[in-house]
Amino acid sequence: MELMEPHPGELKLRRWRAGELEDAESQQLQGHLAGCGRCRVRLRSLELEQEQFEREISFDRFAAGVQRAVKSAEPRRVRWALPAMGMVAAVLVAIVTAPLVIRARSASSRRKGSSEVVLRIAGKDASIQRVASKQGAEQLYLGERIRIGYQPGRHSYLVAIAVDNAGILTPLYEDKGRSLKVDPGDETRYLPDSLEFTGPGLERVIVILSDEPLELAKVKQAAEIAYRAAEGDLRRLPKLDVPGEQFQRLVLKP
Amino acid sequence: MAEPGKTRLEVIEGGKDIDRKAALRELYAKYGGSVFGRCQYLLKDRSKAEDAMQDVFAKVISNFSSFRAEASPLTWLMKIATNHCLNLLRSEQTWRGAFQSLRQPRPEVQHVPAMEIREAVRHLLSRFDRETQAAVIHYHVDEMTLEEVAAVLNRSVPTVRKRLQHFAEQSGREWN
Repeated sequence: MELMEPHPGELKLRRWRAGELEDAESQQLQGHLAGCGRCRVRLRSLELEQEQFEREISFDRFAAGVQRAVKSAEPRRVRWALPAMGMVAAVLVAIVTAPLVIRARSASSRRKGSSEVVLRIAGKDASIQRVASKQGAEQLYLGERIRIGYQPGRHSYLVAIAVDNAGILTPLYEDKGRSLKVDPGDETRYLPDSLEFTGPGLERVIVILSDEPLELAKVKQAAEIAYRAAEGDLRRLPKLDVPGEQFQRLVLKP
Repeated sequence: MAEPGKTRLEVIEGGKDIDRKAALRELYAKYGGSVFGRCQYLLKDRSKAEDAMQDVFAKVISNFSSFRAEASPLTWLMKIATNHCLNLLRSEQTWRGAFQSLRQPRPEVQHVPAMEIREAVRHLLSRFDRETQAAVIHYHVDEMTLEEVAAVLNRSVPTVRKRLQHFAEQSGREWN
């Protein structure tokens, strides 16, 4: 008796319908379908699902709805429009409504003059927030936005960039090609505005606190060297070779 | 991870325009039913499902070239749609109603048709964290392999297996 190939999973059937399978895999599946009534019924139900969808929602309605959603989402990926003096005020723009200022931790857990960076994440329901892990990649979910918090310590300048899987670098916070001026201090403050990272895969956020302003071009150059050293693997990205204290966080985009 | 030999960092100031209407046509014809079906399955409300579907495809349109470069665009879409709907359910606290029904004792059955498994999975999801929810949907509804689920969730196979076992134990039924 000839053994039949195992039944394909539902996703595999969907992928076959969408033309995603390689030739060999596709032919194998077709061969299975030729001999399996049960899977032909399953396939037919997926075809009916698409037909039903097209009956209920016309293409024009679909297109209009998606266009509206694109306009209303408008993720702000890069922060521009900083005050002319280049000072970052300790102002919390209310994208999220829950209290965001972190009170100073007890003296036992933090040294005066020390620096820190935190990524605070919130979804549409801003009362639910969390802080991105320092280890590994923090999974982001659709619609979630990030605020970058920083505790400058004795440093007076800050620059932030992001690098994604595809090697695309985006300046997040800078001032006319250089670091922003910040006030030294021990309290955690939040950079204005929130960010939504889009597209698949990983994104590494890098924040550099320094005593002198850094040229963005130099930071980009250092990032390119680090990216090459890691062979494009963001999980292995080393610290950038620039002065100052550096903080890196990895997120996995939805 | 970048392709071998392709480790050049690229600073992108702006993006290329795509033929949006053609892209939307392709998405509608190839993937519309699958994504809408997933949203309806989880949200149970047709209007909310349509809104959620539009949000999902809006994300795709905003990153169309990355989407096209995916090894399996459909797998990525189903992952996004699943996570988006689970997020909505969590923020709207609509699990409450579903969770109440779990307090009723469930009869043991020898064979459960596929549609009943899907519904049972959906009813049980509220007990679990989001990653377990996603793992369960991809494994039991999408019928992905453990390896495929692990790849989608960016977790190891043992971690995924553990989450599925936890689901099976807590829901009081052995899933094959």
